[in-house]
Amino acid sequence: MLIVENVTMRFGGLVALNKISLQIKEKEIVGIIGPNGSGKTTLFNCVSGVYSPGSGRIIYRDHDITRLGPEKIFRLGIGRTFQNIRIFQDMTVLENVMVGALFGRNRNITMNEAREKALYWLEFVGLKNKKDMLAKDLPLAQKKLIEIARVLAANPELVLFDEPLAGLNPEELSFAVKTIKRVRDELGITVVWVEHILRALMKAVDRVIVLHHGEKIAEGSPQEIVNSPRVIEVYLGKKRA
Amino acid sequence: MPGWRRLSSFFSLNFIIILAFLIITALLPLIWSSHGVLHILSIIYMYATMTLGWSTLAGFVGEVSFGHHVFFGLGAYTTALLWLNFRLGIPALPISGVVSLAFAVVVGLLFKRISGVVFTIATLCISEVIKSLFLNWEAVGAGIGLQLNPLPRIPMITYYYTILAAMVIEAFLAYLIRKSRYGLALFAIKNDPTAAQCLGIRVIKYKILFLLFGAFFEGVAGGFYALLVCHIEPLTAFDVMLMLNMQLIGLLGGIATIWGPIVASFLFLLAAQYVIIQFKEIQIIIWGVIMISLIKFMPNGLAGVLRRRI
Repeated sequence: MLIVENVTMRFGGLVALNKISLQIKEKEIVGIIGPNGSGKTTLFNCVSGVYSPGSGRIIYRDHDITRLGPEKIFRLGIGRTFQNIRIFQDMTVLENVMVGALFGRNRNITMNEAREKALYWLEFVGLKNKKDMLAKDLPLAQKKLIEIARVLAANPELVLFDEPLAGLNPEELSFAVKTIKRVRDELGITVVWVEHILRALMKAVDRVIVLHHGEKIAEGSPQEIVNSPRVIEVYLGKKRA
Repeated sequence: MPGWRRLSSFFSLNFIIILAFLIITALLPLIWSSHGVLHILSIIYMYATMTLGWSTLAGFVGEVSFGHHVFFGLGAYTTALLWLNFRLGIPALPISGVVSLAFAVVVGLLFKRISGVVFTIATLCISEVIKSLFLNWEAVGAGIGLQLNPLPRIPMITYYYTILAAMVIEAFLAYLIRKSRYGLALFAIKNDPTAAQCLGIRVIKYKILFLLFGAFFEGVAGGFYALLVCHIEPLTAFDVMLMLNMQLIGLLGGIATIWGPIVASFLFLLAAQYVIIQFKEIQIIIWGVIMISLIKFMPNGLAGVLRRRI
């Protein structure tokens, strides 16, 4: 469904992504992990069009999206959330989600339909009773849920979640994990998920890709990754002989 | 529909005020037809029209232009030339608007991909370039400019209603855009342009839309100015002070509102009468201090202050 081929992204002298290749299949949940600065968010930015990669190709279904802008890529069906939450702070919760419904992939939708849709997705993430509050007045965990509802309202086929669990307490965390699993299981949306909280991620995903210093160093089932010596080395350092 | 109720109740609450404003401004010349009063009011409406043309781009989309006076100048020259060649008076104003709009298309295409501070500086540059061009262009009088000869001899009351109509039409159009679904997109762009883009909103589209919208009305205001003062020259028609005044009025009223610039035009022009008479030599310093204070103490203008009270 999504093919990333030899994508390289440089910022000045820093190579953020070095010839990354990967594939995402329809209706998968794929986790992407790696230490800080390993290029996870850069990869998301390349796929969603915020950055244009230096070289390589990104293919989504039959479209080459390497050089497309964010709004075009979004309309093809790739939605995303942001690591440092990017909701519309001065708008109400409902308005935030309505933006997704109105300008996403639903063509010719009226304001009333958008409102209905937004309410539906707010119910999905359990925020319906907060709909009239200003987004900025909500706690972090709920802001993250707004982002999820907003992207779902736009009717995507693939969603990139960028650290949706960061900063959540255990209770919020398990609810967020459940919600993301429902995105795939109930809605049939393909999920690519960048996360630092491995314990939560490993239980939910089908497959894990490990990045380190902008390179892909491992790929496999959660079980394989946990036991991979290379991955352990990257996360914990080399075992001293 | 909370946000929309919030917006529409704001307007329905203020519907009576708007209606009263329209009735008073429309009937005023019939009751009080003093030439001086109508003249000052016309200038106030002209500034409101100009400021709205600038503040819709700055306040709705978040792109701060520093070159909107170029559209004003082009409008002034267009109207002057149309008068000199074809004896077109008031009907020249919409044509001037279209000429400015056509130039805005060029500016929009040139500056399509730039935003933020770079956009601000680029717009200032282009206005200075056009000013230099007119300063040296013999066919339009170079540095001396154009004299509307014979004088148009338009009654003051016609001036008054013309510019009032321009201002009301502009405010109403801005309101319609804001109330439509695109208003929600504008709100989103203002909050976070990157997130808006990642939700399928084409930021460029809105930037160009309001650039054209503003340019048209700047052109109309410029044409109006030419007909009113009957003499234009590059240094006044493309004066960067016009731009500063727009920003001052915009900041005073609150750039993200429609009524703000209109109310602020009244306050500004009345204050200006006083400042210019009392502090002729140091007036620029005073405007500077006022502008800095506005940015520091009431960044959202009167609108922000009122909102905090409520």
